[in-house]
Amino acid sequence: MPAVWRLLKFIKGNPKMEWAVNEAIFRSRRTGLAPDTLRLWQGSASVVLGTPSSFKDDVNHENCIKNGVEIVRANSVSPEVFYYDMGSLNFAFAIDTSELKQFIENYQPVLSEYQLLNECIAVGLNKKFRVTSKADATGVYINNKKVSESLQVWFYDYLLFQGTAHINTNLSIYNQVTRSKKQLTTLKLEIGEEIPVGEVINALVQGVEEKLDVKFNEQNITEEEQKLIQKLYRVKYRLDKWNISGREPFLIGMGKTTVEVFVAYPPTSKCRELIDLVKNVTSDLQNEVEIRVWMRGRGINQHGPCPEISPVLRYVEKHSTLPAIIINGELKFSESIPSKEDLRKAILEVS
Amino acid sequence: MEEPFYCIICDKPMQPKREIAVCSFCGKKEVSDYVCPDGHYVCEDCRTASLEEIVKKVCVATRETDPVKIAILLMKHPAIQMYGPEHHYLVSNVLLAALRNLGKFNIDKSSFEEAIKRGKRMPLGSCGLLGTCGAAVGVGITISIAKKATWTSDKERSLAMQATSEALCRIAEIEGPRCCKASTFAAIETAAKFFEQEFGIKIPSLTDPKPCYFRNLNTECLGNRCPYYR
Repeated sequence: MPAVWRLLKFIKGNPKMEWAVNEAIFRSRRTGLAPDTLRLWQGSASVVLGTPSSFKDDVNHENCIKNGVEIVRANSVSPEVFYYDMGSLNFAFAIDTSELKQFIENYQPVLSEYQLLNECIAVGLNKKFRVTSKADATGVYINNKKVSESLQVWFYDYLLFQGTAHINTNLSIYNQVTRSKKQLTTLKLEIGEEIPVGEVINALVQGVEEKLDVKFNEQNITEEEQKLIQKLYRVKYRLDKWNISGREPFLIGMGKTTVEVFVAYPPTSKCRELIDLVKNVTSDLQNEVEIRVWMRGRGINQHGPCPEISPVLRYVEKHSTLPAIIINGELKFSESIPSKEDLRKAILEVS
Repeated sequence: MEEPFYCIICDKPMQPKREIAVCSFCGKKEVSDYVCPDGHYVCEDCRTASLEEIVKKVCVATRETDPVKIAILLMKHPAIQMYGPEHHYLVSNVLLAALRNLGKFNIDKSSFEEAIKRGKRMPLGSCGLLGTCGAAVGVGITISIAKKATWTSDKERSLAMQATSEALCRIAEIEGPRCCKASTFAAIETAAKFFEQEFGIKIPSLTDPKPCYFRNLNTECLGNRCPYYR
């Protein structure tokens, strides 16, 4: 029986908010609050940088200003950069990849999943528009020129595969605002006529249905996702700290403010005092704040499998900085006990 | 009910107990909070100690003459991870502690500091990247400090290099991927043989590290390929 995926055509309008939507549906999927999801959307002209990409080296900022192009950053393991505009169709797959392996021959970790999802796009385009597009792990190509590209991020078996298909994209702007040397094309250039984006939406949906044996159920986003989008926008996507510098706050699950307390094992009197203080200060914030007490040397599964650990926690462990309080991935207090007021202020500032 | 704390030395559940207890790492006496049924207690300073601090504190304080025993105790400390360059100076420190406790050579507190300083010059992954393991170099550092060797020395310089080279051969025989615990044991065992052979110093009752205490904690354990597995 075909699996049922959620189809979202949800659009916020603000380019930075759109990428918060993708992260929200991914978090929702990986915490089990939503089924596998495909989101298809259009957005105004933007350059998208992957997490490791460089604003300085990969983007022509002057030309972005001149052409009214926004700069946004998306979570990604690869340093890719791409451009999209209202002539592009953007997509985001937020899925559990363990179900995909049945469709893959000669499985190669990571690459096979990318190739399979790109093949879904290629199948859709080929069928609907009679082109000969080919997919590999890096994208979809027509006549060896890229027509669809993506950024990917993983959380254990969960994958957020987000990208853009160049339907009627203005490639001359693309080449002005990025420093990319990619060979690109659009569906319009290959076919010789403007393509209504709605037709491509149907093609992509059919491509996924055929390739992965799924049925789509068109829905809207959930209330929890809506809340998370607002929070992600506020603490991450609207900020230059993320979009320009690539520094993001650490949030677990559905975006609760995360207070990680790193202590000795067994906790010393000072460690116990610190744990009690954190619990006391956050007693009325239980819906907004998640406390994680990590004890040195007890391994990463202290809070169950698939742990979410901030990079700073690894740093403090390596440098024996304890006890320590890390709030949303930033080391706020170490080796001393803060006052109740200072701790409360630090937590509320990022909530 | 809260999960009990388990003793980091013997894994037994600890009991809350307020009494004067002796730290199993540094020997300090203080009022305890949790003590295990075998009497193991870790003082508050040792629980929060950094890598260098714990290695130095234990080696300065111990009266133990078996370097394997000191190494195992140290490697159970939560600051010392499964792999890491701290093993590079751990080897020289436990060997120096054992030699001092046997009344050999002129080893004082500054010897341990010097051994840490030298051992830290061996970076993470030096075995695969530089072709020399920091644990083996730790044996050379021990000889160098004990015999006060420098690059201008004659026999002492040769002995330090010879000791490193013998330990390195032994570690290379174990094959990979690396296991810092196995390399530590191999380096100490080679050093013990070297001391006897070159200086006539016999370490009485050197602990056999088999079966390795860390085998179930190491996700990349070599299993039966490792001489210390079981």
